[in-house]
Amino acid sequence: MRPDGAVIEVNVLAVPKRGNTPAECEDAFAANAEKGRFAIADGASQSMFSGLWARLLVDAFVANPHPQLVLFHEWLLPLQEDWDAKTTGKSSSWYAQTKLQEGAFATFLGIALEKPGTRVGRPQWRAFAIGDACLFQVRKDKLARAFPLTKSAEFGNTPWLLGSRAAASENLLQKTTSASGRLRRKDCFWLMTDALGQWFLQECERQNKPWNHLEALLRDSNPDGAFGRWVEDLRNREELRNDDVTVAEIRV
Amino acid sequence: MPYSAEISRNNPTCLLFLIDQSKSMASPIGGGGQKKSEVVADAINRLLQTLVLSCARTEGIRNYFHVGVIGYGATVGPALGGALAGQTLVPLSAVADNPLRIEERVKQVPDGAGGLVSQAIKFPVWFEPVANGLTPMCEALALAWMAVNDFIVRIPTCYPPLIVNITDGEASDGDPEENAAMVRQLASDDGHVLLFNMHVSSKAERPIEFPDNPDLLPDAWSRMLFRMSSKLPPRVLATAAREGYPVNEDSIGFMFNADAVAVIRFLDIGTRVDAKNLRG
Repeated sequence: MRPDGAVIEVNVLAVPKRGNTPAECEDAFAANAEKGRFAIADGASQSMFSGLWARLLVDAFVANPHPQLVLFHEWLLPLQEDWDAKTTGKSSSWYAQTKLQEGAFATFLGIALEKPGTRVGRPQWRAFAIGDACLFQVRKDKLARAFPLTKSAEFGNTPWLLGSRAAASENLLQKTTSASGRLRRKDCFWLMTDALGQWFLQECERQNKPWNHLEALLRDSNPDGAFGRWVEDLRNREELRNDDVTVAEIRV
Repeated sequence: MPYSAEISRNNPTCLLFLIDQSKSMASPIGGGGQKKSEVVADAINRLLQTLVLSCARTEGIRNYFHVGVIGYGATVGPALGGALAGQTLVPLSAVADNPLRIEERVKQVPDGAGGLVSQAIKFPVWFEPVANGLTPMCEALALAWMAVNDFIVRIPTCYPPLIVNITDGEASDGDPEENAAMVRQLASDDGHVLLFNMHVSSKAERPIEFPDNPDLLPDAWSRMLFRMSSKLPPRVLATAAREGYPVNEDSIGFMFNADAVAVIRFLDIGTRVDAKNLRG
């Protein structure tokens, strides 16, 4: 419940990469409707404990009380220490030691929705991203904003990543993109990891309204089952890359 | 479309290396002081390490690959030692867990503040350099045929197995072309088995990499190795092109006069697997 009485509604669906179990899904999403903060992260599958790293990032972002979003030094260092503490001694094998030395990696996108009356003027949203996790703002059944990628052709194999080791955290500000915009009642924000984000933009480029599909799935009597079947069908038709898929609907 | 199968724990593929261990492998590689046998052993160990690390996940090593090394020289047979001795193809997790020993090497890594720090890196050793005897390549290819045939019978839907033969000279036990053809005739549902050949030389001559035309090769022996080798499948072709090799659809998985750098690059390009083709 927001101070003005309005409710932010949040719905989430996730499906692992085909061939993996749900426990092996390395995407993470967190919501703090009270603070108006939401985050999504996609752990890179070629690192160990990247699902844990993605989880630490999103949880810390939505709990962070600081009004400024991009504060890597304050926000990231304690998380890197936490990741180190949680993974140290997990395995004595040479390969685990090597992988843990390299650290885990994840793409990240966080958004803060301003409460009405916080300051003079109309409320805003602010977001920042590293890599290709996606944010779409839908207003009055139209795509109002896509961030950080705006075209389906922009997705590549090597997105920017946030690393769990200080050595991998160089040039973070150059890898970071920020955005902000106006916020209106009944706006819907969609957060999703890259495979679905690419599909979403492709649909928009074909003049379709992909959010209608996603809304219908979320309103299904068994959303998880319906979403799983729908994703599998898209994968079989090769319209969706085989990857972990997470989508969150944030309705203002 | 062939050569498009996803590689997964349920649908693994296999990599088999045939390593010439004849006496001449003890002479230095072209343009360097290191013995050919040592350069090759180092490259194989490095490749196995890279492969293991690329398949390491939170819960352990995923067996996307079954891997083997066959040595041919004074003897012909499986060449991985220790707990893996005597086995031709083993799941990658068994490779990961059973190096002969682990050496420590030092690497310079960024310190996160614009500088570099030294970091101790573990370098596992599975395969030791050997140089002794003749070059029974025909027998090695026959053994490879049996191992890969077994694998395909067990996993008929696999991405086609890759065999990489590394040699410095001519076969001492007959004409290897026939056995090579038999190996390449083996096929999974996804395409014919791939055979790549790499020739390492003591001569300091420029390596001929992924040629598309045998007429550019210097002698009958190199042209035979050319004929023994498969064309690059699409994924390897794309990797080689990305790495700057002037390859085309007729390019062959073959290198002649490879030096130490070329050995490592050839193995890397031939065996690199994009994470997007690993299915879970």
